[in-house]
Amino acid sequence: MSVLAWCQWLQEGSISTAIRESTTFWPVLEGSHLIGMALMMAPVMMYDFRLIGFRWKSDPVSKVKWSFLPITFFGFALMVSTGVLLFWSEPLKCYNSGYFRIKVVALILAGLNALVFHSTIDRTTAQWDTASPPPFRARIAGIMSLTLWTAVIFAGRYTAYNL
Amino acid sequence: MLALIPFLLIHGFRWAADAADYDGPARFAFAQFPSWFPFFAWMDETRISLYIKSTTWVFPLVETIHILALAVLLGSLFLIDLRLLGIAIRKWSPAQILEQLHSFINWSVIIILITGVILFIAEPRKLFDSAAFGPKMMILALAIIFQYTLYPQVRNMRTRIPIWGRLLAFVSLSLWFSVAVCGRAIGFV
Repeated sequence: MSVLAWCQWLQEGSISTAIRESTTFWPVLEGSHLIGMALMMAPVMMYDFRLIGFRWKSDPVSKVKWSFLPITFFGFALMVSTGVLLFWSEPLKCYNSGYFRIKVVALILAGLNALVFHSTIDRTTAQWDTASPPPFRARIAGIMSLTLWTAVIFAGRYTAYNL
Repeated sequence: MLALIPFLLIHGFRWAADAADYDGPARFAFAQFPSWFPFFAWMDETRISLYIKSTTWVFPLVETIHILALAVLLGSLFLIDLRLLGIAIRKWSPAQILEQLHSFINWSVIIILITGVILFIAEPRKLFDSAAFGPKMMILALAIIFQYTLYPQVRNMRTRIPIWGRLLAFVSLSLWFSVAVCGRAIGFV
């Protein structure tokens, strides 16, 4: 089954139709997606800015990390759960949107960036915990993360415009 | 619970209007106050408004920046308010967190206001009739006044949080959350 056929099948399902045509649930979903974005982005920014050496300079990296990461995970869970339902409601529109493809690519890159960061430089955090600015690779990871998540938000919003 | 406030403002009045067989403009829409009409109509005809309407790229770009700045503002306030409520980030005092965040808050408010004015210029006629735009402007005025008068009290919370610190967090969350929900509702009502 091709991706297009799968999207068509998904869109014709009763759940997709029910979400798409509801007058209350759909706006609430979209609003929650927006709130999740705020809840996720602010702590991501705090940690990334510590990695770049722009904020929280006099605090250990690990302290910043463990203070903000739980909130990020909570926001991310809200984003994913509402995002899946939003996609479910209009898979064909997403399939046809170039911006949605950019969003998916940016999401994958953001995930890869986090994966590489956590499996390499992050393992040695103890050695540069109080360093400001932190090592070059940590700064790159912070800048990449900020850029990619901003790209995700831009592409996500642009998906809705039908440009 | 917080969502109740804009929900009541927008839907409550519509239900009340339905119950009373009222079919005039939505309550709290600017359309309720015809004396505002010349201003909205004039804005609709200005050169800048006509220019934005003639392009397809200005509105999406400005609105996306508006939303991005909103995420930064709302997220920053979430962080401070979660700390005030004693839920998260307990390793720092609210004052320390505000110290790190206050420039983000100020800049995002400035960006939101500038992009917001551009968005208003782009479609004043639609906003004149919207049931959500009127409440949004009222709550926004309250939120900004609150943010720059009472909220800075957080700066004094270095060692312990007074009991009304929780009230501060609750009011701040309610106000900005309501502004965001009303803003999103402009697209629907």
